[in-house]
Formats: sequence, C-alpha cells, structure tokens
Amino acid sequence: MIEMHDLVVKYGNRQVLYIKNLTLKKGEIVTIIGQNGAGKSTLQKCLTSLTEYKGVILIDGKSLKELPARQRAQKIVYLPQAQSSPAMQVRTLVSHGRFPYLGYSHTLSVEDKQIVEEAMKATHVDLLKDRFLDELSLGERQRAFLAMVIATGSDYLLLDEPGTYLDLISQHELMQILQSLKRAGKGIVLINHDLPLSFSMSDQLILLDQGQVLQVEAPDDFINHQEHLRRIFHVGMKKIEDPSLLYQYVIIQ
Amino acid sequence: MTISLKKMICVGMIVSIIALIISLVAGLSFHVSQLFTLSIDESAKIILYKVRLPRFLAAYFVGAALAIAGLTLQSALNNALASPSVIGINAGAGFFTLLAALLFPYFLHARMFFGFIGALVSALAVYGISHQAGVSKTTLVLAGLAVSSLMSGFVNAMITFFPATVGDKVAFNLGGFSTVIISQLYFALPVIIIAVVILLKLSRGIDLLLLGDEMATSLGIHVERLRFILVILVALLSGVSVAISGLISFVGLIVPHIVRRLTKANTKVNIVVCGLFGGSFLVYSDLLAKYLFYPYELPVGLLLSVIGAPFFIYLLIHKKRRLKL
Repeated sequence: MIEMHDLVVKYGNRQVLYIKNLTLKKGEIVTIIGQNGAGKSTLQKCLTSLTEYKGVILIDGKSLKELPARQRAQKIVYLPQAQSSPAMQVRTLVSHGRFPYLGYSHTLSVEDKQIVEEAMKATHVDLLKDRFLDELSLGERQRAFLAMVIATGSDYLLLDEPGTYLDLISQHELMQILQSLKRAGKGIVLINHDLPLSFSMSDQLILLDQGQVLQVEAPDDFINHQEHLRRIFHVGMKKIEDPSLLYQYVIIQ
Repeated sequence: MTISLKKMICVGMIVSIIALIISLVAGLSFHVSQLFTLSIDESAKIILYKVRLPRFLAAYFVGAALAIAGLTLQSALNNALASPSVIGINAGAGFFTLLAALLFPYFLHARMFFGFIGALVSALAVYGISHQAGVSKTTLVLAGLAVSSLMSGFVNAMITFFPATVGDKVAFNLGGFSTVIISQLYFALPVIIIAVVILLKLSRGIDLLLLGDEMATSLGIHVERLRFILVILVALLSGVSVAISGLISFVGLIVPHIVRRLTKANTKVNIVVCGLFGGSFLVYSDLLAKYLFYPYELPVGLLLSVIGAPFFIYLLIHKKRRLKL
C-alpha cells in the first residue's frame, strides 16, 4: 500500500497540498476529484518524485525518498495528462515501459517482448504497432501511452485524466481495462472530472479542495454525505439501480 | 518515405569508403588499385600519410562528431533547431583558442587543447547558470545565449587589445582542415570515439527524454542528471571538433534533420547513421572546397555557410514534418 503522513507541498510560500494521513491500496481504483487547482495533479506528482514535498510517503513500507528511481518506477508509474508525440513507433514506445527493469544497456528478453505484446493487445493498439506516434489521433496516442504504462508492470498506476481524448466507447473500454488491472491486483489512482464515471467505477473517491482532503469514502457512502460535493461542484449525485444505464450514478441538481 | 535501416547503414558505409578513396587518391599520379597493393612511390606515400590521411580522418571524425552532437542536443533539449552554438560551446572554444594563440603562439597543440577546455568551460557555465534558474530546456538555451554573448565580447576585447590575433580569429571563424597534422588527432579521435560509445549506451535514455520530462522521470530517468551528462558529451564532441577545424557550421543541423526524416528510427540507430553520413558529408564538402576553385582552396567552413543557409531555409519553409523530432 501507499501511505502518506503529514504531506506538505509548497510552491514558494504558498501551501498547495496538505495531507495528514492517506492510504492507497492495491486492488482498488481510487479517483481523485476536485475543482481545477485543488491539488489533484500535485498529489500524483508527489508519488512519482516529480514534486518536492515534506512529510512521509511509504510505498509498501519503504520511504519513497530512499527508493532509487528505477525501483520506484517498478512500483509506481505516472501517466501525465498531456503527452508529446515524437516520431516513434508505437511498439518502440510501449517497449520503453520496460526501462525500469532494463536500464540503459540491457536488451528486451523474450519475456519482455511478451509483456509488450500483451500490453498493446490490452489497449487495442496491437494493430497500430508499426505506426508512428505523430501519425495517430489523440485517442490512439493516449491508448499507446497507456499500453506503455501497463508494460511497466508497476504495482500502482497513476493516471491523470486518461479519458480526456477518448470517445465514449473508448472511455468505456479504458474503464474495462482498468477494472481488469484492478482484478490483477494493481492499484489505480485516477484523476477524473467525469463525476458519473468516477462514482460508477471507483472503489474509493478522494475529494480535494484547495490542497486539503475533505472526504475519502466509497461511492455509496459518498452519496450519503454530499455536503462538500454540493458546495464545491454545486451539484449532487444519485445512485440509480438500472442495468440499462451505462453508469449507475447520475448528476442531480 | 522511410528507407530501411540496413540500406541506410550500407549506403553510409559505401559513401564513407568512396570518400576515403577519393580523399587519398584524387589528383595523385597513381591508380586506385596501387593503393591496395601499396605499390606507390615514396613521395606519394608521404603525401598520403602526412597530408591526405590526416585530413580525411580529421574531416570524417569532425563531421561525425558534429552530426552526432547536433542530434543529441536536439533530442536532449527537444528543440529541432538546437546546435552546439546554441549552448555557447563554439563561442567558448573560439575564445580559448585565441587565448592559446596569444599565450603559446608557436605551440600548435595548445590551441586544440585550449579550444577543448573552452568548450567544456562554456558548457559547465551554461549548466551552472541554468541550474540557478531551474534547469529546463528553455533556461539552457537562454543561458547559452548569455554565455555566447559573453565569450564573443571577450574575443572582441582580445582583438582590440592584441590586434595580432585577428588572423587567428579569422582562420578560426572560417574553419578548415588544410593545416591538420596527424599528432592533433592522437588526442581528438579517442575522445570522439569514447564520447560516441557513451552516447550509444545512453541512447535509450535519450529516447525517453523525447517523451517529456515528466514521463521520463516516471519511468526512472534522472532527467536533470542525464541532460547534464549529454550536454557535457556534446561539449566534448564539439569542443574537440572546433579545436581541430575551427568553426564548421550547419553539419550539426543539416545531417540530423535529413537522417531523422529518412529513418524515423530510435536514437541508437540515428547516432550510427548520423556518424556515417556526417563524416562523409564533411569529407565531400572539404573535397569540394579544395577543388572547386583549384588551385585556390576555400575554407570548408565558408563553403558550408554558403550551402547550409539555403538548405536550412528550405527546411524551415518545407511543410511536411519539417522540424519534428
């Protein structure tokens, strides 16, 4: 599990994030929700050493600051919201997901190649493997990067708005991929602005506002305590048990 | 259209071998076949070993080094227009070379060594300045501009106070291989080879830098550390090259662009292809400079400035994937 204690992030003199105690577990999908500037991306970046912080972050009992970079990458990987698009083939991109294990020198083993192939199949980019990133649509590129992240085999995947460039069907497919990763024991930490989607597919929701954690609960418990949600988003959520609905949670006024 | 990598490498090796043969044989009074049987007279041997071979080796390795340095810098800074002059290396090498000409006017090797040191000093200064401002691609370029301006100021001050160094400055700015002697290469070639081998080892990291700093860090790269090492290696390659030949422009821009457009391969392959084609390109350019207005010889740096600028303008205005990395 990932444990955070007395986590403080400051940009200059301005405190942008404070977390007293927070735990993230494997085998769960946790979605961080909140307005823009609430500290969602900052929280994810702390977990991958992209942001300076004070306090304690433990990953499976080991301090994040003491983990060498590649060992940290074997445990936790971050996919930012915006990705670059160099002239790189999809299969080359996905194979870079094995860097935490290969380093600079080692070549891909048979097992590594198998992992890369499976990652491409999982996100349906296997048919695009010989295409170059700069030739793909935003959604296809997003799936290629997701395949790379899956290829890392990391225990925890931090995804910053992974569905941004995806159409409705692709978003649904993405959620199914994440559900299967969860069942395989991975810990998924998402940032998502789509409340119905977030409520429907998450095991835990973390509501952030102005760098503070206001609420950490399962969706069913969240809808019973919506004061913070209503104050921040000016809307509420309701659960509707209807199998014909794509998402069981809907936005209400 | 991409060309298969095996074809590219084969073609690169063939053009390199042809460049070698032409460099050694052109204008001399013996047949190419005599070269392989070594049945040539003593005077031709002296010209070959003392003049032609060092000149070929210098031009080939400098071309390869500059092309690889340009490729590396463009990847490290994610900027298709990056070149060693952008981070102040050429200016630093130029100032220190002039300093050597002033302090040790009769010791030719001092200029090469000082030029190499000047490139390193400039690169370290650039990195130190940008570190204070927060190391990023932008701060590296801005710090490079600052250091270039400073070094150019020092050069102009030196010319003002010591007018005798004007000739050295002009020779340096024009760039060429007509005065290269073999002993200059004893230090330079091993440095170039070692730097290229290290870059090949780091090539996977360079590929990850192209994915953006956040993604590279997430995958386990020490981005700042890697970028620092790459800048130092580029300074080594460029500093040694500039110390041998003076300022040779556009090789570090033109060759990587052409190679990337033709291969679209990973960095490791691009380094090899850039080396083969960069070296050949500069050798052929040197041959052209030597024989175009024979018996008068143009400095190859001057020729490249004339050829390179229109080609670069063509790159800028050409539409498809013109500046993509």
